[in-house]
Amino acid sequence: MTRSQHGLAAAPWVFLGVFFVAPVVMTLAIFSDITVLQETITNSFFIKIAWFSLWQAMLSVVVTLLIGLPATWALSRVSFPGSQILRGILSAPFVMPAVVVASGVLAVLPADNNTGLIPILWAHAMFNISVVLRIVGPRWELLDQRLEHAAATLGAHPMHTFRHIVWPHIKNSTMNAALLIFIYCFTSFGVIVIVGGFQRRTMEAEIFTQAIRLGDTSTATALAVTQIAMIGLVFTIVRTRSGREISAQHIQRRPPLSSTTHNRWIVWGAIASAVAVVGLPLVATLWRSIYSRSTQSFTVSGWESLLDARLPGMAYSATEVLTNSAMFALLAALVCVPLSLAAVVSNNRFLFFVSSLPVVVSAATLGIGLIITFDVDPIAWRSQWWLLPVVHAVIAFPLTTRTLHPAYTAIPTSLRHSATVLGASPLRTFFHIEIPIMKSALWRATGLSAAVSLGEFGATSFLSRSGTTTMPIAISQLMGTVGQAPQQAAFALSATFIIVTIGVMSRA
Amino acid sequence: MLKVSHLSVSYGKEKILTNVSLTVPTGSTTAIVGPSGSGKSTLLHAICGLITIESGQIFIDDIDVTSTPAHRRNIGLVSQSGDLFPTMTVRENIEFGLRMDKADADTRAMRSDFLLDLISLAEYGKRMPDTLSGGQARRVAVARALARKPPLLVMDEPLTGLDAETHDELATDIKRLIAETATTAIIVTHDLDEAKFFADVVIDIRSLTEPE
Repeated sequence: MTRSQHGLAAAPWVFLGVFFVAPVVMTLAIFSDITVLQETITNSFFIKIAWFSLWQAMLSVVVTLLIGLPATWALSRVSFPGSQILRGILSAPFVMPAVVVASGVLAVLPADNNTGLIPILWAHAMFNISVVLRIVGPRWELLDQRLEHAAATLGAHPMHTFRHIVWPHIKNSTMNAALLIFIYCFTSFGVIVIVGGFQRRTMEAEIFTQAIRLGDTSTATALAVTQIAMIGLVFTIVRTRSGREISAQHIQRRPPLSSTTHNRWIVWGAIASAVAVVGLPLVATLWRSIYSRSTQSFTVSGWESLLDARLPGMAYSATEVLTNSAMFALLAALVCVPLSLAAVVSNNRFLFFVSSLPVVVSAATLGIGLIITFDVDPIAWRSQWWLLPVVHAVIAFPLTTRTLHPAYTAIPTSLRHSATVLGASPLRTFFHIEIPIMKSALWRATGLSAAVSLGEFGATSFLSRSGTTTMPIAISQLMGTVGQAPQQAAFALSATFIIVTIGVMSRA
Repeated sequence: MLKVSHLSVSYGKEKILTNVSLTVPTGSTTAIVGPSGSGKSTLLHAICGLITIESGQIFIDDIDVTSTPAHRRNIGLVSQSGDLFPTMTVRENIEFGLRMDKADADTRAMRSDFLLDLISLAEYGKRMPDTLSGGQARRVAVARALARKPPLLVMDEPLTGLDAETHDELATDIKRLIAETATTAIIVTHDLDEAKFFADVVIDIRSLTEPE
């Protein structure tokens, strides 16, 4: 590592050190009381919550893979008109707040049966199909088709071809996707708040209840420690079972659907089931924003309330909420992207490892850490509005670094050499050669960090104060308020988010 | 004149070049040949200042450039693949070095016009690199390397991967460009016929190592 790379690593180190490592370590150090920990992990109430968190996450992984893998196969291996649009629709929920996804599921199911296990699984699958598509899709797309053809000519049934040729090629990426989905579902908070009902609670939701509603930080920390340990255990099991990456890559054109007529119905079936899981809640949200279930009539009251001085039952207006969310998203991107770029360019493996930890440490754990750490002078920042975009940037950091890293490492060294021998200093090579080549990755990272900020709910729930309410918090509060007017306003706000997201995604 | 004196380069524990010395007279073209892995490209990268050397000295026109950073050495480099900057037009690629030298727009345009004419691609200035054929891209890479009028041009297998016809055409063009610009040049190749075609002197890299 050169001296300039050391210098570049300093900024992300300080940022992650202050706003991620210190809060998490402080929480664990101050509140990890072994007696409380023992009491918590032997308490039957908490054991039930931990057990539910575990099995619902595992079931969510299975359901998501069962729906997501066939759709990924169809979109990666066969070419047909409209496949890009379908890919866009299936990817859209990934950049939507969990509360918008959950309220979509709430909208599509009958009122007397819209909370509990099925809605939780649906919302988790809807959110995570895009994870399968994003992680497994590119790998499946590159599998050399000649290998499958060779297997077929040697008498292999499609199932055997899948087992012996396809699966070894996509196994690692599928395991990685499954692990990520497990972590998202195990630490699920927004979905649980909206569709969990009174019976279904994850550890993440209970951490929030203990820390914020009951003020019992020690129990909340004990739960957070248990949660990190359980994630660590699953992570280790999955990693040790992942085999060596098998490379059979070959860039090729996908065969058109018409040439594989016998597969036509399988392709459409795979796509249709995934689109139904993802699309129905989105359409239902739009529908519910103009249709009231209680009066069984059309109404635009929800949309009208977005223009009022205050949202129904709330002390803030929709304009205020939208402005806050947009401003925080912009600031989070402005903080996150340059620091992620510095982390990538610094080429520091340990920094890269630490930057991925916000995925494993849940938002609620981080939230507790932040309110504890930044509660004493001269760093009593817990009520400062700017802490929200900064925390959003921390949470987006793993995604943005992983978006920028492949783009940066793909730049041939010889291009840098050419620029250097033509008189460009390292700084000018960076700005004149590397940045222009990375432009699209930088835009993608900016979009991702903004999307994470717009949708962030867990840590924001801990830090949000009057005047800093964001869209997901507002939707959750409106959904939790009795009466037709708040519900209609919640669906109108969710619909606004869906329209904006699909509009932006279709132009991206 | 280029003078390399007792140069040693290692990658980790692996010795790539040991005690290598070389002299290239001004205005001459020297070809360095040798099998794959013998350190030909490493020698060029060391001369350009792109890698850290273990010991030795490098002089250009009697000036010790051993500690001079690569971007201040003013050596033209043509690599195996040409390496045109993909986000810049052909003209922007050729003018890049002059921009780094803070040359004004008129000077840059005059020099790039001259070089585009010289490589017979006068109409291609606004094209992007990915619209060029392999031979055209290599000619632009040579023009780009010559734009700053470097005292030394180094070429690392500049004809690799081209079909036979383009290979022969480009070889003739490069030889003409070197002669017309009167530049001192080093070419690295594994092809002895190619080396003899270009160079006044052909040297096997293995013969450059001096006994310690």
